[in-house]
Amino acid sequence: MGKRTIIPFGPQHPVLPEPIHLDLVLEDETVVEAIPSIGYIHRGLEKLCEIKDFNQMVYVVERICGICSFGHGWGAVASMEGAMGVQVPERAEYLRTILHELGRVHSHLLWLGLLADGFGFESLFNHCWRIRETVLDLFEKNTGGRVVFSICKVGGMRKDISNENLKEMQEVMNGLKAEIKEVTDVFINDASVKNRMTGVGVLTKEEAEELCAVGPMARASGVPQDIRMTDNHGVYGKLGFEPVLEEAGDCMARTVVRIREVFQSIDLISKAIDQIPDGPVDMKVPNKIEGEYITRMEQPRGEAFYYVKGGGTKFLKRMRVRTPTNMNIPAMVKTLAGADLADVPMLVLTIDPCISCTER
Amino acid sequence: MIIIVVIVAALLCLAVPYLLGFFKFGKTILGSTFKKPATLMYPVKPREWQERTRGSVSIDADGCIGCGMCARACPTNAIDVDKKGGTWTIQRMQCIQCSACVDCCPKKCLNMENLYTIPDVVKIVDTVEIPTKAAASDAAPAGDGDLTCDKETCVFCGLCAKACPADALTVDRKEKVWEVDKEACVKCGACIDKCPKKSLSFGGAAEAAEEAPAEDDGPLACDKEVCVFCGLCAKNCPADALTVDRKEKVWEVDEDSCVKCGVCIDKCPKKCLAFGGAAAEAEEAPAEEAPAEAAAKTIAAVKDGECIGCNACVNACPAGAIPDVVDNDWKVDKEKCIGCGACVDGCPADALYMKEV
Repeated sequence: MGKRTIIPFGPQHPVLPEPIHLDLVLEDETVVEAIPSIGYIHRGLEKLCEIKDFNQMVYVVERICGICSFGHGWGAVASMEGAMGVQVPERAEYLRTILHELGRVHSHLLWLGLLADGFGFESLFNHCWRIRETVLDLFEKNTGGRVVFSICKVGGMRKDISNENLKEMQEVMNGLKAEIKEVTDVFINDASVKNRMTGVGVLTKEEAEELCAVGPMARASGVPQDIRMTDNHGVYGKLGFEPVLEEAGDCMARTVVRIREVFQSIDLISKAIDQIPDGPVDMKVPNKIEGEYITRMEQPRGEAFYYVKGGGTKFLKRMRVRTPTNMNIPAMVKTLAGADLADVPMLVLTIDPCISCTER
Repeated sequence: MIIIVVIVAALLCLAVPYLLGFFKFGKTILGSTFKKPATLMYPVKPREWQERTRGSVSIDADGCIGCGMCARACPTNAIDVDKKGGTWTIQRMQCIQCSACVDCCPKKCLNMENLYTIPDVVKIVDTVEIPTKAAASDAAPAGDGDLTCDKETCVFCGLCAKACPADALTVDRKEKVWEVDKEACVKCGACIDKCPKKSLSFGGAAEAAEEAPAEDDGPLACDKEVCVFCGLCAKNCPADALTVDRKEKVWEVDEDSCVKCGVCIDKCPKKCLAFGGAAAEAEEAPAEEAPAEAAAKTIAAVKDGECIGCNACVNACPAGAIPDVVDNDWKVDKEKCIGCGACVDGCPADALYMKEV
């Protein structure tokens, strides 16, 4: 056994968009143990529900994360609607599904950019973000916001999106496919990218199941785990959803899962726009919440969990959000053990960490 | 110089196929070299805003009544409304542009502008002067004083409480209670607009009790000759005072429960309801023969080729006069049709209309 060294990694590090700290215990160049610590950006969402009524809480929950903002908003309103026992109009469900998938495209493109930046491929990074900009423009046109949309409300949507705008969205997204393919082929085929990612940080199917990995992290190890497979989540049941699976479980597989999900999301958006019915997007809901309810959502990073408990007033008694990164940290620590120090940035990045989500 | 550039370019062109084998990104990079930048050439080319872009909140100060709904809806407490001092204040740094205030404003004097607040080195706080109470009462004398209800004319129907955006009103029909929470009342006047009896006003029953007595004499009566027993009156009654049975041709009113709000009269498709049995009876004699014809006079009909076969009308028809629609072939049983028009209201394709026979 060589001499052990502890290297602090983060909370400030070039590959980390958000602060997480890792104590890397090294033997020579090999990591033998990684001890994570979080808590740099705790914002006290759960306490806020005591002073913000449930309509205001939607805006708070949306701001948990700037990347999966729509999904968080949807998760919050879906759990509140569940507690009230209301069923929102079908068109609203379709619009939510479309915007959520659009959010997934934007999130995965952002992450692909960060990954490219992580292994030093600056031009690839810029191209990913250039494509993502088109998606953000679509968001701004249809919701009014680029990253925080504030379009979901308890009982439906605050604004309808006209059928013309949806058709335009469909055309733009289908047109983007070629551009995205050009860029994502580089991730899959380029020799330097392959060298950094193939066979690095393998998480086997058994380990993924044991450590409760979620989202692309689990699916890259061959675990068919996706909340969109269940029928009661949005309108995915009507769109014929099949989860994207890879078997290898290494960094490359996790990247490929996300790349394939980008194309899958575009197809889902296209299908949903073809199917969307006309009708109202909003309904009247009670102005108080009673009872409790749990909602599970498939965020771009994996399964998120929302719990609300009402006390018969317009304030929630309890609100709890468990985010996907929270669940993926054990798997990340597992893959870090035994890795080379130089591979640590890749391993941290490929769980798509969203620390702000985790700490809420 | 030019020669060197040409030689380098020629070499590059020759090397492209070779380079592509190694650098999968070569084609894209080469293409991008000759493209315009993807970024906007700001400020030469200005940013174009979308119609929905949420930039900053603006206020039309003249319309503001200082109700404070916006301050209460704001999730970040960015807005302060001082009604006495006559100011409306927004802390721009705290505002998250969610436009909750714009949606809840009862006077629609708040707007969401496309432009963001212009950057500054201090945290911007904008204060706008709004009309104070004294100024407002000059403009609209009726808007003075607390909200009051003339209990003589009030029927305790509760429509005011439903319309109140601030949940300031409590109405109990059974106990004949009408209460206003003066702290919560924002004096927006939404309740006054909704009141069917015009019993509400700010600062005393000035304009109340004028038309109320005229409508109010006598209990609710139904002209059973005209009535098609469709049940729309019972469905809309806020007090559940009406019982209608189509099969038995029964129409009954529970006079103790009836709050005389008149909602049923508005909803009746055959206009057979009225207050005051006497008035209705007086009309009844000359109308005795006509109603039977009137009832059969209009029946539902379909516009050619517009029926989508959704069967919404089948479910909507209170008389069961429409059989299941097969192959978009819409039919109505002329004997059974009571001419209430419920199918026309229920048709999602606007394919139905009422036809005079």
